Amino acid sequence: MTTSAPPPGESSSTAEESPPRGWTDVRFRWINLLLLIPLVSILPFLFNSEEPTLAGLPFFYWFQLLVIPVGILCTVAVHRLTRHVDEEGEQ
Amino acid sequence: MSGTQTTELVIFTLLFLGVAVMGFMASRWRRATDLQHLDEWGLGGRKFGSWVTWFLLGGDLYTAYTFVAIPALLFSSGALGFYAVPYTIIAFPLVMLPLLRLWSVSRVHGYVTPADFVRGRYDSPVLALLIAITGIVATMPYIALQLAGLEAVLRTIGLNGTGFWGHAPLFVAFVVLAAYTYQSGLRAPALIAVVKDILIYIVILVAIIYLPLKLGGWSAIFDAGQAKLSQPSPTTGQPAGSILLTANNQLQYATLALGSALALFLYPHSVTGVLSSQSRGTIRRNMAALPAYSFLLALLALLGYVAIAAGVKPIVNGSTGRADTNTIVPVLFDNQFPSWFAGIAFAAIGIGALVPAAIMSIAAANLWTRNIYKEFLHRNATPREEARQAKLASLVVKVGAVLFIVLIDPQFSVDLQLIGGVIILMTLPSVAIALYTRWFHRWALVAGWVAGLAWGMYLLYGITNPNTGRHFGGSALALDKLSFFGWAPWDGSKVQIYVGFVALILNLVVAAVVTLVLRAVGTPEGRDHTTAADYHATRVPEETKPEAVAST
Repeated sequence: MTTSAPPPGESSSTAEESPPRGWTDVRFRWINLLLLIPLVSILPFLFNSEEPTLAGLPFFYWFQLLVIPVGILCTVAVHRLTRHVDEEGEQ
Repeated sequence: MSGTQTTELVIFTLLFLGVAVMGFMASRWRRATDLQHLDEWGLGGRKFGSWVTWFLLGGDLYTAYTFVAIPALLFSSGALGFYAVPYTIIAFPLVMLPLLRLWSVSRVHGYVTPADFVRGRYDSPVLALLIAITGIVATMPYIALQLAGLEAVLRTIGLNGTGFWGHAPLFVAFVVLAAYTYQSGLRAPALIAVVKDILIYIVILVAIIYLPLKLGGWSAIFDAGQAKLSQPSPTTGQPAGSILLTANNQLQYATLALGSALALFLYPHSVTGVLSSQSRGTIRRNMAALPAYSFLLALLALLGYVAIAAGVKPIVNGSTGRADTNTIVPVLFDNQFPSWFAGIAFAAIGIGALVPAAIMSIAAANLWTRNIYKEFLHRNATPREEARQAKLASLVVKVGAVLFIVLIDPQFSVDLQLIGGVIILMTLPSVAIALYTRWFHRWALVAGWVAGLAWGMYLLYGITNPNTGRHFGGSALALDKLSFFGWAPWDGSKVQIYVGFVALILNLVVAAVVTLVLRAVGTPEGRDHTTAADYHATRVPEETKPEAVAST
């Protein structure tokens, strides 16, 4: 929501002398939008059905189970593709 | 007590004592020069690496209550209870970037709690106090729920006494917990969380493979679930639920999952887990790996239907005299497994209650010490006095949580947890949004908090339990109840929405409007003690001194 996806191009990196009111050094990267993909799991109208079943599980249940690895892949992708710019004391 | 129950009790007690010894020994683990410092006792020295953080956060967020209550929810109301799965799928990707900023700014300034950050960002002790109180109030019923999970297990083993002393086994367990938390601080739950996870994984994998085979496969289990859920309830005449969502509860499903995900890392105990990690890399790796638990949670949730198919009847709580649906998973294990394995399963759930209860009481104690005691009562407290105060506060918090269980019907404590979620969500603008922008005025944030909280409580009060007719009967609000000074845009709609979501929107609107007004009249904004670069800081000098909270 509001906290994770600030609009692009709004990165003001310097702190103003008066209390800063804009974005505080927000570093937007397009790749971060991958983090929104798992939100598909809160759109129940897409998967609220019994058919097709998988190993006896209705679609409603196995679809959401399937989003778990997808979410992990998205997060790992963001992590690996951005860590070089995030000079962090990796050991 | 039957023979099986004796075996279960012996195995439970042995494992329980084993982790208690670990808890006491934990104070020597990665020993610091001086445990009498809040950074050491309350944040484990801020040195936990990826693995420890994974177990700690896992133990923190996937609790005993989750293990008993989520299946219980599917058992009694069907698909809606599965909201916990999308909730934990979306939570970690959504909060990863904000948490990195929180970690950096907290490391630079030595912040221990979310309220410390608010204090530094807005220069407002009042706003920080509100955030701290919100955190403590929302955490107490959460700890109480861990106890409810532990008690469900104890009562299944046969320790189902009546009246006040029926709670005695719980008191014993809690005294042990309080003692090692006092002694070892955050190191104790971090170490015990490893044991808890191993036990839980073994139990769930066995349960989820063995039980469906025994009960005729998943399709038979879902059929049994649908058959039972579609029977009309004797009190309301409506079906209890369905294995799919209905047209009316889809919006509730989505907003409850989203609201819970946003609330998750506003809870002080989650922040404690994050701040105790050693680097930004640790947090990034954990946000990628933590959803692995969601898989476990989904399988656990389905045990609710397994319990229906196995014909489980909830146990009647000896102290309240009412059936407690939280006991369905323990009863399922008790009926279907050999007693020694059931004993291990019960120990897994019991230990799963102790880990989060310890972290939560530490987080609440940190809030008390940093944002109330040091800010308002004893400004010149030394680090040693802070640590001592926090240790004492952790005891008080636990006594408070025990009182919750003793004085209040456990069914009602579940409703309190829903209220806790709505309450903590009201700190989102002051904590999470503040990590990105200082656009909101500090007094506008106070106004938004008051408005959102008041309206949220009012709406929750108006929701009655269809079976008992009691107030605070849930968090699903029918849209036709929403009226703005008599204007009801969704009059007659039965579509439900999560109360926390509605209250958060009001909170944001009020905060925005009041910000514009205050800025127009030129109300002082206070000094921002943080700088832009703090939010991306990766390396910090070894000796970070906690910033004097009272710095104005």
